[in-house]
Amino acid sequence: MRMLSLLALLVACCLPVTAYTADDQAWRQRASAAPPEMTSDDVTEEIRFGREVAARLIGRYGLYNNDQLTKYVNLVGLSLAVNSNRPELTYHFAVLNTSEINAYAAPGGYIFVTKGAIDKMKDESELAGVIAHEMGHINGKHVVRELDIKATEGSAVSGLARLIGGGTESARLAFSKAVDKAMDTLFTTGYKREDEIQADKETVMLCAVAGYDPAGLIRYFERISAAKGKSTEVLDKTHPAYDARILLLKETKTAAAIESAVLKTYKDRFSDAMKSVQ
Amino acid sequence: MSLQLFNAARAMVFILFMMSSVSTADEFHYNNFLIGDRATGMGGAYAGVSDDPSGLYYNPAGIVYSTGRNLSASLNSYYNQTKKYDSVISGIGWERRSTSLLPNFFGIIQPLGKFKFGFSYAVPDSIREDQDQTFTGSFPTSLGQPATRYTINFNNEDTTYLIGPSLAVELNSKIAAGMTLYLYHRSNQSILNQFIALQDNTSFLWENSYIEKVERGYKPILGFMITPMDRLSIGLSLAKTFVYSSSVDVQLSKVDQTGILSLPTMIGDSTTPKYPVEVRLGAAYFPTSSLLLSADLSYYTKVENPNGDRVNVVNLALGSEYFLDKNWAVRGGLFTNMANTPELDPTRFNQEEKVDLYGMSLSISNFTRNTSVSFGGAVTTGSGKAQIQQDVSNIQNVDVLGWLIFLSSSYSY
Repeated sequence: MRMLSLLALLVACCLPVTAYTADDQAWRQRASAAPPEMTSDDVTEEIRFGREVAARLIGRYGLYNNDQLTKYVNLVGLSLAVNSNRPELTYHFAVLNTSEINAYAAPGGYIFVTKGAIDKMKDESELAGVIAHEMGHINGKHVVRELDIKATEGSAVSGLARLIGGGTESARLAFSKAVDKAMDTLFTTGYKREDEIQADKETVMLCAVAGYDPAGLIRYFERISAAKGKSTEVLDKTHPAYDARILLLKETKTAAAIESAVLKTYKDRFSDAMKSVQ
Repeated sequence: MSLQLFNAARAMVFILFMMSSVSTADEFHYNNFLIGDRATGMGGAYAGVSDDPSGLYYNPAGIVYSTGRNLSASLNSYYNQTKKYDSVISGIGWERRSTSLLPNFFGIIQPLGKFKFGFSYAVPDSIREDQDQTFTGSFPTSLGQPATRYTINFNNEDTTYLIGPSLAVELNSKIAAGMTLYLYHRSNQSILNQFIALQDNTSFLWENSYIEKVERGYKPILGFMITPMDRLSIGLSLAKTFVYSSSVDVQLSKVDQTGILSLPTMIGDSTTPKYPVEVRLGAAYFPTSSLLLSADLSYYTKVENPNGDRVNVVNLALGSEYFLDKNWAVRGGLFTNMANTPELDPTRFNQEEKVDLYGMSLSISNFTRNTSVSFGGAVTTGSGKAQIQQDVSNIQNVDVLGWLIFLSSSYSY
């Protein structure tokens, strides 16, 4: 009885709800916890995983069949990728054949922009902004960390552990489930709020370093927020509100003090590229 | 099994000074096996830690803080114990050995939305006791002549199995709650064979008893984990075994000194035994990512049972874990396993033995990215009192020494 009273007192002391953060119990993690840096095997696994997610995206929408547009999107993307902090990845860009307004990133360097999104753009800096945001998710390893994508081991110790503990098919099943979870993130739940914030911040820097006006993404958001509807349904469900994102982009741009930099929109080049789009 | 029933069974046999009682496994202690990879190395001081599959047994609330996506852990152990009773028959002592080799834990944790789901199998008690001794000399009896030879063969197997699911949830950033619901199964078989040859070399007595006991029930474990401040974790778990089905069957056969054989007699009993409420309070301090210190206090309530009352028991455990580097860790622990039997009274007969045990454990683990393998052991020792002979008030000293080695693994993916 006395012990139950003590428990009740302890619980009462701890009941006030505090804001929960993922780091609240980080001190439990022991020295053996996986290091933050990725090995080459981890990168290989990330690419394998991303390829599977990319395949599902292509399976869902199909690719927009226009070589010139695809080449153009790749050129814009690669000009951003050269400044990416993931030199171990080879980025691939493609256009999805859907009128939905959205863009998707799969781990390992696979970035997709929908036809519907491109139709809403007015200049190349807006396209660069959208691609840079998706690149921010890949550079930040948001899906990799959330789903703990890493290489399985082939060491003698892990083999012995599997022998004693019986883990064999479970890794394969876990991969399949992780891909399902990644699709959930892209279409239903969205990334974590802090991951979206990080990706938007990285957009400003990536665009500026590549010579693009980072305000391109701001103009794009202002335009599509006025056209919210069925075509923006998935985008609206999985991302923070446009005005919050626009405010963050402006603040980041100000903080980066890049107003004096010569940053371009490449409106004419964009218009020429869009002439091939029917 | 009711004490009256058992005594009646024994009364059917010859009452001689050296006829011994049948002890049914280690019912006299509650902390016979440490459970789980990390917990075993840390002396079982785990209620405040419990953030891996071992927590499914000690404090299911802790699994909320497990860091792997999916974890499985299994432990295989070998256990050996020797009990020595001094001056049992005319100054000669008895020795009983017990061994057990089995996988005694497996657990897996799976995130399930806001919850963590777990499933585990545990063997908290297992004994395979064996005594094979022959005494020669001249031993007094109540049959008009002394005995010159006494042979005892005793084999006893008693294992308890627990298997079941667990569920835990974080109520807020400081409190988590969890529950494990084990199915409980206990299986015991015991054979006692005794032979006495009398001085005239033509008379002898023989007695054989076979006891089979099966218990079925369930054991819920309710746990809480509280984080009152950074790096300090306090765990509380409550558990109790409920037996809904019990059967004890006793078969007795004997030949008396005139050579008359009594045909085997079967006696049955279905009285369900009671087990204590178990309260475990633990604290764990994580000063750095390399060092962990923990302590547990376990309390077991007293129980009144027809086959023997059990007193309150308090056990203490202290544990530590230290990472030499990110690939190697050592763990150590100290623990008690106090007897749940009352002190022996020199004026009474047929009392159960009382031996308080003290132990220490040590293990070393190797870690790779997703796996760990641990190897270690534990030693328990203690001294106490016993009353081996039936209907005789003599009390013997008894010394116990047990050791355990284990090999375990855990795997996350």
